[in-house]
Order: sequence, then C-alpha cells, then structure tokens
Amino acid sequence: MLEAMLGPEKKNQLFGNGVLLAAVILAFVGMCLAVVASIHPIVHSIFWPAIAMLFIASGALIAHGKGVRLTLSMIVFLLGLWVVLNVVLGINVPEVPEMDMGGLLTGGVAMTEMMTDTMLQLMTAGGVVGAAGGLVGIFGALKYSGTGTQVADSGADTEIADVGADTQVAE
Amino acid sequence: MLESMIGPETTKKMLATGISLAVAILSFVAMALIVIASVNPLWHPVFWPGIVILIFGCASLGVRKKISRLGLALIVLAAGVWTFLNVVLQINVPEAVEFGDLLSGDAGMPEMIAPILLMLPGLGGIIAIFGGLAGIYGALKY
Repeated sequence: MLEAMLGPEKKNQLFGNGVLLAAVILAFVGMCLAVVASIHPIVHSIFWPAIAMLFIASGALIAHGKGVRLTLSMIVFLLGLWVVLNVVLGINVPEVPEMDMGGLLTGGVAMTEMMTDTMLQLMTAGGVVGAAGGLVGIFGALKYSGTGTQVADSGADTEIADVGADTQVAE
Repeated sequence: MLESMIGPETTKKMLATGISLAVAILSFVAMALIVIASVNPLWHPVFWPGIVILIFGCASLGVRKKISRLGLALIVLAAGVWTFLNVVLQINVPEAVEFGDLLSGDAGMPEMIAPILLMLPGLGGIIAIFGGLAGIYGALKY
C-alpha cells in the first residue's frame, strides 16, 4: 500500500530509517545496561565498547549509503558480541575480591567491589541487546537502503515520461 | 517525501522541533538518574549540573534561533561531560563509609550506599552527553 502511495524509493527510505532507529534504541538500552554495571569501578574492556556501540549505531542512522550503514551496523554487532564473550568466557572481567564481612567491616573490601559479580549479568544483557541492535541494523541496511542503480533507473523513467508529455502537447 | 508535501521550510522546522524534543527527553532521563543518586546526602558537584541539564535541555524546545539552540546543546554537553568525568576520574565523589561506621552509628545508610549509587550519575552524564551531541547535530543541520 505504502509503495503504491509513495513509490519504492521513498518507501525504502522510510523503512530504512525506521529500522535503523530501532537499532539505535536497542543500542541505547544495551549501552545503559552495560555502562551502569561497568562505570564504577570502571571496567574498561566493557565500558568503552558499550559507549562506542551507541555512537556508531547513531552514525548508521545518520549515514545514507548502503555500504556505510552496513559497515557501521556490523561494528555495533561485533562490539555487542565482544561484551557478551568477555563476560561469558570470563576474559577481561574484574577480579572478584575475597568476600567476607570482616573485609567490609575494616574497609578492606568496598561495597562496590563486592557487588562486581552481581553486576556481570547486566553487562551480558547489555551486550546481547547491543548485538541484537547490530543485527537489526544489518537487516535494515541490506533490505531497505537504496542503491545508485535504483536512482538512475527512476531518472530514466522520468525522462521518458517527459518526452511523452511533450508529444501530447505537440499533438 | 515530507518536503514535497509541506515544503522545505516547514520540514526543517518540524525536524528541528523533533530533535529538540529528543534532547529534552534525554535531558530529563539524565537528570532523573543524576538527582536520584545525589540528592540525599546532597552531593553538590553532580546535583546542580543535573538540574542544569534538564533546564537547558528543555529550553532548547522553546528557542527558535540556530545559535541559541547550539549554545544550549553545548551547555547540556558540557554539564554531561562534567558529571561523567567526576564519576570516572573520582573527583568530587562522596567518600566510602566503612561498615563498622554504620554499626557504630557514625554513618547512616544513605552515606553507606553513596559510592554504590555513583553508577547512576555516571550513566546520567553519558546520556546527557548523547543528548547534547544530538542537539548540536540538530542545530547545525536543521
């Protein structure tokens, strides 16, 4: 229906922007989950990929070319995957301090360090949501981003239509 | 599509208002996160920038001039960066309280959990930075 109303070019543009907006929203949620768990004490290997995820997804929304959108979405997906794998495989995650109440009483183990293990699940959830955002972006870029060929085709159509109109006027 | 229906001028105005609305919403979320973690005990270096982020983010909805919107977005960005750096670099953060102080009554529960809540102002700062950047993009493009 939309295609008949707007034409294939406009419909693709509209859907492409919609899908990439969804990807940005997913990246935003993923960033929130990962960052809230890794900012204090800062876990660099999780924190910075989460921030990059959001900004690169936003860049994909602003970009126009199919290749650029696809590349940026793939980077978002890889960053999400990096966060998930870090936690799942136990690489680059903060060391769990020896936890006993004595440590807390004497100030040896601060409350935030004590909660590190609990926070890992949020980081994982953030990574999964970010990776999902990346996949959505890849889908949007592949299916709805326009190509140069389509633009050239529509230009040719317009020229033919113009010639037809001229002929009618002459008649 | 929109441009052919309502003209380029109205389209620009509409998109600019849309982005300003997004900035206002992001500022609100940032303020909520920052204020909830810094209001009791009051933590001045982060609490007031949180309020400033909200006021300036919402003000960008009301102004028309490009330069004004750009200025407001820059202030939101600066306040967000300030909050974020305070948390990440551990400048002006509340001191950690030992569990023993809580037991002996030297510290209350809000003081005890203040360092745990630091994650919320940090996230609020990042959201404000994102809002500020969106505002700058909107002001420059539309």
